[in-house]
Amino acid sequence: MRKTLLLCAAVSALCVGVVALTFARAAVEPADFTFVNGAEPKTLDPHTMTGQPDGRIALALFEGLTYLDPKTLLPVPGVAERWDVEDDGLLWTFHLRHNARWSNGDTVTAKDFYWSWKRLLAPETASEYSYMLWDVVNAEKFTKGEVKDFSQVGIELLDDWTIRIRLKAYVPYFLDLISFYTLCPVHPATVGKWDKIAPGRWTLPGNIVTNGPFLLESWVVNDRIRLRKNPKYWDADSIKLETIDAFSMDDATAQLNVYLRGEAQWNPGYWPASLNREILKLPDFTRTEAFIVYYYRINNTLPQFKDRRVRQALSLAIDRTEIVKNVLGLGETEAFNYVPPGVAGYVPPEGLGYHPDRARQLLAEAGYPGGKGFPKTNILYNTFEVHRQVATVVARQLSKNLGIEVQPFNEEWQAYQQHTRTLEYDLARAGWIADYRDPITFLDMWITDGGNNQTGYSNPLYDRLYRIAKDTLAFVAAPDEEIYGKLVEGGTLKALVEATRALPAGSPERLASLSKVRMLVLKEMDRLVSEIDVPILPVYFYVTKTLLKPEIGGCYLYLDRGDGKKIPNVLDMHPLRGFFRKDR
Amino acid sequence: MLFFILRRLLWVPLILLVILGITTTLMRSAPGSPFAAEKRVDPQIEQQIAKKWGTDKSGLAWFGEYLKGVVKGDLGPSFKVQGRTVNDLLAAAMPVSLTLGLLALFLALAIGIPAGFLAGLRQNTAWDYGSMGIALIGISLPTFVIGAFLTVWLVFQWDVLPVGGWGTVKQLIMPAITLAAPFAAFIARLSRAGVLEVVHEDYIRTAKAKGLPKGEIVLKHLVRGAILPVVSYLGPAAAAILTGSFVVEKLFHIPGMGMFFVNSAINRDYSLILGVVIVYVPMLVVFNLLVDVAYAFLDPRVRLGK
Repeated sequence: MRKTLLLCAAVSALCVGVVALTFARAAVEPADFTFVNGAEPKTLDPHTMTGQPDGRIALALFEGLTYLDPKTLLPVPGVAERWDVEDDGLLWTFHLRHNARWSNGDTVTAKDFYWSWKRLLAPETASEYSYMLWDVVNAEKFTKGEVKDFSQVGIELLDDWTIRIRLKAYVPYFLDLISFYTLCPVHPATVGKWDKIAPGRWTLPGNIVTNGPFLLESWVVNDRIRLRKNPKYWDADSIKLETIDAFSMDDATAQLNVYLRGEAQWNPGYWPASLNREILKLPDFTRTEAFIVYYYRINNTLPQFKDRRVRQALSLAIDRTEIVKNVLGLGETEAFNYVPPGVAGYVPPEGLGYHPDRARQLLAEAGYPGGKGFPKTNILYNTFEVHRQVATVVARQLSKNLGIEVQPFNEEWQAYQQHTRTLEYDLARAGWIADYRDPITFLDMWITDGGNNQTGYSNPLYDRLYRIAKDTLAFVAAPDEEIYGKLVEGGTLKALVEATRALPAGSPERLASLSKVRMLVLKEMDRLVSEIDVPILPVYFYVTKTLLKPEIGGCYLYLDRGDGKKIPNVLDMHPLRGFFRKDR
Repeated sequence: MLFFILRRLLWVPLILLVILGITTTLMRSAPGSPFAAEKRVDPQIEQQIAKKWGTDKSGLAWFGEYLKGVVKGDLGPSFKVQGRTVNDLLAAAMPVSLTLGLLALFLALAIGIPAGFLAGLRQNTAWDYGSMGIALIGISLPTFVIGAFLTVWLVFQWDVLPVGGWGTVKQLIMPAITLAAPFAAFIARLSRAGVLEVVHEDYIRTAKAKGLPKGEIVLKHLVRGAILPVVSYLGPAAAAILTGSFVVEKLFHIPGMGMFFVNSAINRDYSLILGVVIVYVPMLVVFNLLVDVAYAFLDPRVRLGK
């Protein structure tokens, strides 16, 4: 028996020994500023990343030709000192500053951008966001392997300090794209070296070479990323924080706890949804409208949903006010159209509204009076508390208002994704987050056979409008008169097009007028999906929610565009370079 | 004895191969892919991604390539934490889970066994009801509830411990207690049952009849037999506790490997799924082997190597 006791003692000693060894090191010194960054970033390679947590870090580590000023989110000179725009907005020439440096001391040149964009577009990089550059001549074809020779792509290296881009069509938000993390440069020699040894490892601390306001000091998976101010950054004086910690954590309770205990000073909306009503009462809680829509896809290929009157009936029978008031309660707004508010110059269509009587009438006209004979309908959603609640309420509303049998139907994330793509659903939950501030980022989804369509919806008129929105200049130059008759606001569009044609080429007035034409075309597209064809059911527009300790500054939920008016930060973008401490 | 141990260890590679094969079949036939995202990318880009990561190959071809790497000690790249290999991820996370697990295991034994013995030896007394009542709570309450209660009291009410994270001894206390609680409770019930079973055996009665002091009966004769159920439970329990807990690591923001068990499956991070299998299976086999060896020492009826 003594042996057993000895064994016990040995085990305990071992325990204590291991613990002591592991914890001999000192605790990590807290950073100047710590925030909850959500899930572990997939990568720190700006060309292959897609997630918001990844993007927050990337924009601290890298800098593009331009970047978005944290206060205004307007593009300002980054590595590029200035730029010229010619040819009705088709030709952009960027002039680089001479004092931008990589963290290893190398100068940032136009060659680095040329190399980086070639890498971004190259098929073997397999970048999910390479389409950010597809407005450039032949860029899409290069990515898809249809053009092999990069010199045919509209990116031209004039000298070490000048790079020129030729666009396929006028893109009003082009500088927003240039400022996006996907178009940031990477250090060619470093990436090239690691590609030969172990691809991807160049992003790890110690290997990575960056050109942004911060350096990657350490990165512990499922713990934190530590950033340190980059002394070699050309505008280092404007950076106020020495160290930043980004916590990687995906448990909603833990995310809230570290904020409440002050171990993190910023929590951009990560907490259990069930606590929303409590969090609403905290003095450091703020919210704004977000450029995100929550909607349901309708499987347009199912026989009962092929009739647009049925789809309209579904939309008319959803009481969105009940959902935003009773289920959500954080100030979300009802979505009667598809594009969220927040784009200057975009007036959304009204949508169908909530009219159960009209809904029943349409359903009867489609051959289902009182919902009789209508097949049982499932609302597919992926596992998440809010999705379950919304689906339950919508199912009840549809059942009650239309007399049809509707039920929520839950699947785990991967199965849900698969079944949405293969159109194995009746109705399916979905959401869409904008990458840049333009309605096209929402509306390009519903073109025939679009990768994100996943409803089977197809309307040649919609596709035609999409092409006009993508190249409004070409349409204005040679308008096809017949389209006006097919649109609700065709007359207004015609007048606008003619007014634009009368303006001198290249003038700012003409670009502004072109933009108006484009916005009206986008509105007609929105009208098709939310009022006429209704391949989807918009439900609500999100809000951006944030908890921020009072001692932290530089997180702007409302943007100051200089004209005295504050506009909401609908993209929920808060570049880390802008943060500072008010108490130091 | 030595032969027995060697023979059991030689089985490990074969067992591992079979389990890896089954796991690969399951994960490759599950819907979804490591690269599924809400924003669907152009089908051509999708193909490029699959090619880059080798998931365009058939399940069997992929498994073959993977095994070649495993033989060389390369567990492949992670699909979801790109730039890191599964070796990197496990090497960083295993010491964390091991530390926490050892401490929790120690706590579970140090609390569970005495409580169980006390209850068993003083059956139907306040001691028995008290410790078994607490054990019942420990078994019934899921760890996320225990962890939440501890957080509310120790962090938000009394302000004595940090809310989570990894790096200091203080940060270890709450997760270790949370992780240990259900195991301690189970061990307590098992050892109570063990005591009750042995206490009426003839050899205990003989010992009593010989007039041995009570303490000596317990230590010399009773413990050996009564501890057997606990020992057999310890095999799988130790493997589970030392490889980390998903709930505890999530709740307390601990960068251990428990998270990988669940997240890798949700993310379809193929190489990481197999990586945790490669760690877990040999551990399970080895701990079960240790249990059998311990039996040989504790139970005179068991002799190994036949």
